[in-house]
Amino acid sequence: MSFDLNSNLNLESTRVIAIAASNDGLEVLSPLIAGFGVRDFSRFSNVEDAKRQLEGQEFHIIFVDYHVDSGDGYDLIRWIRRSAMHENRTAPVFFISSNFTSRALERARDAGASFAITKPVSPDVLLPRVLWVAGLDLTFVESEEFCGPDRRMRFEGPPAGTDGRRETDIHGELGEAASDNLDQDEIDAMLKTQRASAG
Amino acid sequence: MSKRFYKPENRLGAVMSQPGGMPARAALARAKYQMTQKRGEFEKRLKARVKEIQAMPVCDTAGETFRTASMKASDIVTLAGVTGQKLTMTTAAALIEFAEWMLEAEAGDTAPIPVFIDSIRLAHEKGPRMTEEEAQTLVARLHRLTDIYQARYPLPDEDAA
Repeated sequence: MSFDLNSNLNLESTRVIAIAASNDGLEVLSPLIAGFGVRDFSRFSNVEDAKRQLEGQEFHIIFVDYHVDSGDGYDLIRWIRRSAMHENRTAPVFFISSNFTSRALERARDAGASFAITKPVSPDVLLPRVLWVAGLDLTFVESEEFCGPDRRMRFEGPPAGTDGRRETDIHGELGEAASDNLDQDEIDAMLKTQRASAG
Repeated sequence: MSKRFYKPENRLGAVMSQPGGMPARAALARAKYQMTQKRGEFEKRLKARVKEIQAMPVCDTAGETFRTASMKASDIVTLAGVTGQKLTMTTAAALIEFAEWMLEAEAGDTAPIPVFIDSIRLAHEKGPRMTEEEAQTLVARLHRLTDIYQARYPLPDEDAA
């Protein structure tokens, strides 16, 4: 199963939930989600209300904002990934934030987010990622330290400061970081599961 | 708890594959259209949020001040982003970067917050009339301010914690 921008898609029966402290964030998501054809979109600015909903109803896509009323969204993602309802536990979770430093991104990943989206969320950014995640048959990991999608990272060379062992490894000095924030492509590279091929 | 690997059913893929629906490109166009229809409302909201952040009360703790500033600036990033007000979005994003760093560093110096807030106001009120050079200077100064404070308040080492 795979989807792209040339695919036909039916989002009419999908159930989507978004949790954010801010009504503005939810208001911006609403027309965007409705435009995709989703009819069942639940919005919550209160985490406890959202948890009750997540315990009682299956969702296909979950949006969690960095700013939720109980603090940050990481705890909510961790709760979802350990929740009693299996369907929501394994649903794609999109983490939305205005500020993705590499440290913030690692936290989102370690909490169990499927994707990190930087604000402002636009249809051009969101739809390709929904299509991509819908085409995946993800393996899930459950352990004491981590619950969430398994990730096989894109190979981007040996760890910094090591020589590497492969003939194709690139050597050289690393420069100073040009910027602390990551752009959407870099964020995707850290969170996307990559298919591995043998042979 | 031992480590467990399993493949859950891809419910999203299954429901999206059902007959009906529309081409993905049509969905994209529809979403963009819906966003355009709401642009006037989002502009009004943005104006209100810029006023709100200027009236932001002094919080009891520095942490609370940074958290509140970051949250309010995040709304401005969202609304300025969807209404195409790039400079307002960039200045608000600069405030978030600063506030989140200071939160993480557990720093107590909130003195630069008004500078960022005033820059957001300036960007929102005068951004469209600013030259590219003026806009760049404004943003560069905010980043410089953040650099100074980041050097002054380094983040605690997570591994050492």
